This record gives sequence, structure tokens and C-alpha cells, in this order.
Amino acid sequence: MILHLVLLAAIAVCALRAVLLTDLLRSAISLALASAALSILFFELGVPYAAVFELSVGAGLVMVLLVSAIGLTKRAPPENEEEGKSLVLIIPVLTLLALAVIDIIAFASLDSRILPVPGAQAASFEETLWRVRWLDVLAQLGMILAGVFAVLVLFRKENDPIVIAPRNEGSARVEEPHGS
Amino acid sequence: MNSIILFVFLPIAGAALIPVIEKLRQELADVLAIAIAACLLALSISFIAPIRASGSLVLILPGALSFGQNLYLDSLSLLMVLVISTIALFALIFSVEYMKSYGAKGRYYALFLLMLAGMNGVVLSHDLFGLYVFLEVAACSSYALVAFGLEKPELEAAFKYLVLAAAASALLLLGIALIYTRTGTLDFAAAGDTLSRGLAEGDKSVLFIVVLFLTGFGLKMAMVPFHAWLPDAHPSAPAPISAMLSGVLIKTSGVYALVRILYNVIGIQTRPEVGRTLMSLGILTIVIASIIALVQTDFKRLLAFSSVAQIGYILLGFGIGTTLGFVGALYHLINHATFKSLLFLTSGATQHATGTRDLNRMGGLGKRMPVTATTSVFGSLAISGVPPFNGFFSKAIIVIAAVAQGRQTGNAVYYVFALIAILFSIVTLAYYLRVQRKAFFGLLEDEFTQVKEAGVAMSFSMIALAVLCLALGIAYPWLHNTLLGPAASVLTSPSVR
Repeated sequence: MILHLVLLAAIAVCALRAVLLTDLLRSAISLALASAALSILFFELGVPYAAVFELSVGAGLVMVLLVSAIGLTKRAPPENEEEGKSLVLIIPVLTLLALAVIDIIAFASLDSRILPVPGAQAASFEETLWRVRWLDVLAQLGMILAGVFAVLVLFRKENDPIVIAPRNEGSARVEEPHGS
Repeated sequence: MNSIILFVFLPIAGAALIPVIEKLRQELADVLAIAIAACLLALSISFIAPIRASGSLVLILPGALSFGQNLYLDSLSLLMVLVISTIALFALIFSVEYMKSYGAKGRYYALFLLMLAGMNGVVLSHDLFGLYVFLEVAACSSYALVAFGLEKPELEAAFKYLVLAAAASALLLLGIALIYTRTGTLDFAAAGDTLSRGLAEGDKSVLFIVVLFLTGFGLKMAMVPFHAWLPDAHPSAPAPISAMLSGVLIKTSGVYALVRILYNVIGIQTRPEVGRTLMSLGILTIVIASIIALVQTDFKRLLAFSSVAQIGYILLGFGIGTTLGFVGALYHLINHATFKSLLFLTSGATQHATGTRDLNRMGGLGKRMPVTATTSVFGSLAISGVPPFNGFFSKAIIVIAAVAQGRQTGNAVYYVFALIAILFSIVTLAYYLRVQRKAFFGLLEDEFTQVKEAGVAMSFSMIALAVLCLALGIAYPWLHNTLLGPAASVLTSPSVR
């Protein structure tokens, strides 16, 4: 139980650091550490497949992708980082606290253990993935495609024609109405 | 009946194919995206007769285990896929011309189709985690689509939408985890047995799950007080996406999912106070959003607040908890999908032509854009509840359901809510008349003398939706017997299967 609490605290601290740090590389490392701690927690809770996926994808693959992407960027000139820093700090901390309170209420309200699904205990990992949760796998395919296209759209090259409105020839950009 | 899987598989396959096909010829991407939406609409229509005959159909995947996930199509799901496919088809036809200036059209269609797949998955899944994953597919695609223009306001709106939707997802996931812990299953019917018994016995953990879902789905549907993201996100997106978001996404991932879980899984029929909470939140949503909409000068932002207000009417209908209430709410859900999509498309056509969304700068555009102006009048009259348009009938049914329930229970609150619903329908008429007067009537501003009417594809979509606004009102008896009645009976029955 103590180990679980320590791991939960480690996940929370690392996740907060990932949000708060302005250095992208350190932020990515914090995220990987949060994933690694979550992976250990999964092992402890007896779900080794989830642990392996979390470690290999969350802490491994995602970390490699993030570090590769950060390697392609240039450091921006320092801005006035003090401005709004307290707000940036408060929001994630408050969010975390709110979620922690909700979680505590949730688990305090439970009066039963996880019940077994009839027949599910006999299913192997392969059966669970392909014959029980096949719809989740299909949805995951959609999720991966959505992620890929979102990145391609959001980081499209400057020479891609992008939004310039009004969409008539020779017109100017859309004006935002005042007070809206 | 394995063709049910096409509702999910076809758009995902299309999304993967379109960027490749676009390389061959740009126009092929337009054709493929529209063809997929048309196929889905045809498929939905083809299921009307079998569903009327059998009540529901299940996709049993060859080799799937008996306790595994399946796709279920019942009268309620069918109604939803019909609405989703119809609006998607017209939004895609509108996009052919409208999205030319944005570029990256292939990727736009891919994200659009993934959003479609996500929404179809949500309405066909009878498994809590499956529903959650499809919600996320639709949500992730929509974040990118809101930010599609890449201007600062669009990126900011998308980020705000992402943060609040992520908070909603966290609450929903916690609710699902609690249900799994409580019942040992994620299947709607299996979990429903334990949960409805627990709720009837006053189990506090089930009530807590209800609160989590109400908050999580409340955020997704932009119910007051969780509406802050919508008036930024919906106006920022390209017009066809605004039409999809306001027309169907908030209803699918918010209203439908909430109502399906509350009535078919948790079984709140035994606790009328939950229904009354839904009604109260609905009324609060109508009042606050309508008042804010009254003072808007940004065409699309006004439409966004109006969407929030109309969600209030739908919640009010569902909260009443009677068959008539469900029919009214479902009817208003379909109607709002048609007239709000139409209004967003007309606002897009106006912005496309004039370059502004500021109503104070517009004027007399009806002379230069007669199709856009006329269809906008149709949409405005329909949403304001003017007969013989569809909005009149659905609002009337909701009000009648509230009054009938008030009579039956002797509770005056139902009468008060019915009165507020009528009064704020007049407020809706007031701000839509203002839109018409400022944008399309009066003297034509000098700067807009060269403005041209929207092209053929854009006009076709607007005309088709305007005709639907009228047809759905006139065809109410047929709609009731074929779709609305059976769909409402799904919610009144104790079990989903």
C-alpha cells in the first residue's frame, strides 16, 4: 500500500513537472518518468501486459518521438517568463488537487471488490485483444489516424495554402468583431 | 447483419485512403468523402425496415467470444446514425467549395471521416469503454478540425476545447472505472442490472457515478455551467465543421451518451429527482444562453450560444422522463441538427463572401445573396419555433409533455418550466430576427456591392437543409411512427436488449 502511494505521488509530481517546465527536453523526461512510475504501479497491481505497453509506448516510444522532435527545434529567445507564471503554476496544482479529492470520494464510496466477468478469466491475452475487445482495437486504429492527421494539419508547411479569409480573390483577412 | 460494422469501418478506411487518392487527383478526395457519407446515409435508411420489424440488430463478429464487445443497432441508435449521416453528407458537399482556400483538403476530409467514425461508434457501442474510446476518436479529430485555420483565435479556441474536453474525459473514465469495479462488467445490459438495483436502494456510489456522468457529459454537450468552451470553439472552426459540431457532435458525445447511460444502464426512472435535476439544468441552460445570445454581434458566436440554449430544450424534454417528453426531446434533437447546421452553413457562406462575421458591418446582403438569405430565414424561423417549421412541433411537444406531467404529478414546477420554455422561444425569435435584419435586410453596404452568391455546391447544401426544416415539420406523423416512437420506447424500456 505504501509503495502504491509513493508511486502515485511520483506520477503526480512528474506529471506536474511535465506541464510546468519550460525546457522541452526536461518536460519530456518528466513525462517519461511519470510513465515509468505508472508502469511499475501496473506491475504491482497485477496487470503485466498494461505495464509492458505503458513502459514500451509511454516511456519508450513516445519519449523517442518527443526527443527527436525537440532535436529538430531551435530554442526561442527568452520571453518575460515571470508574467503569468503564478497562474500557470496554480491551474495544474488546483486541477490535480480537485481530481485527487474526486478520486478519494470515489474510492471511499466503493463497498465491493472487482467482480469477475463470466468466462473472462479463461481468455488469454490474444483472445482478450482480438476476440473480446476487438472494437477497442478498431477504435484505437481510428485514434492513431486522428493523431497522425492532427499533427499533419497543425504543423503543415508554410507553402501549404492555409486559411486566409474572406475566401474571395484579393480580399483581406477575417475581422474579429469587437466585444465578441 | 454484419453490414453494421460499415458505419465504423467505412469512414476509418476512407480516412486512411483519402490522402493517397488525393495525390492522384484532388477531385477524387471530394468524391470519395461524399460517396462514403452517401453510402452511410443509404445504409442507415436500409436499416429502417429491419429495425421496425425486429427492434434491434447485433453484429456478431465471427470468432468473437460471447462476452466480448459487439455493435448494437436499435431504434435509438438508428435515429442517431440517420441524423449523423445526413448532416455529414450536406456538410461534406458544402466543403467541396468552401474548403478550397484552406488547403490540405485531403487531411481535412480524413479528420472529418474519423470524427464521423467516432460518432457512429459512440451510438452503436453498448460497452462503456468502447463508447469512451469512440468518444475520444471523435473528440481528437474535432480538436484538430477546430484549429484547422491555424490562426491564433482558432488555435486558442481548440486548446481551450481540448483542456475542458480532457477534464470531461477524466471524469467519464473515473465513472466507467467505478462501474467496472462495482459490477465487474462494462456491458450496458449486464452492468445495468446491478446499477439500477443499487440506485433504487439508494446506493450512494451509484449516485456519485450519476454526478460524474452528468458533469462529464455536461461538459461535452456544453450544458450551463459547463458551456465556456463552445462559444469559442464552434465559431472558430470552418463553417462545415461548426455545422457538424453544433449539429451532431455535442448531441452524440453529450446528450445521446448521457441519456443512454442514465436511462438504459443506470436506470434513473426509479429516481425522479435525477430527471428533475436534468430539467432544471435544461431550463438554466435555456435562460442563460439565450440572454447571452441576445447581445452577440458575431454571427457565428450568436449561433454557438443559440446551440447551447437549444441543448437546454433537449435536456428539458429528456428530464421530463415520459414517453412524450422523450419523443419531444428526440424530435428537437433531429430538428436542431438540421436548422443549426443550416444556419452555420449560411453564416459560413456569408463570411466566405464578405470576409466578416460582424453583424454590425453587414446589411442588405439578401439582395446579393438571395439563396443564402432565404435559407437563413428558413433556419431562423425553424429554430424560433414558428409554424409550420419543424422547430415549432418539437418545442410544442416538449411543452405539452411538461404540462401533462405537471397535471399528472400535481407539481407546479412543470408548468413554470413549460412557461419559461415558451417565453425563451420568443427570445430566440427576437435574436434571430435581429440577425436577419442586420445581415440580410435593409440597405446594402457599399463595401459589399460586389459580393457574390455562394456557389452551386454550397447553395445545394443550404437549400437541401432548408427543405428538410420544412419537411420534418410536415412529416411529423410519419416520423413519429417510424423513428421517434420506437426510439423513445428504447429509453422507457428497463433494459437495452
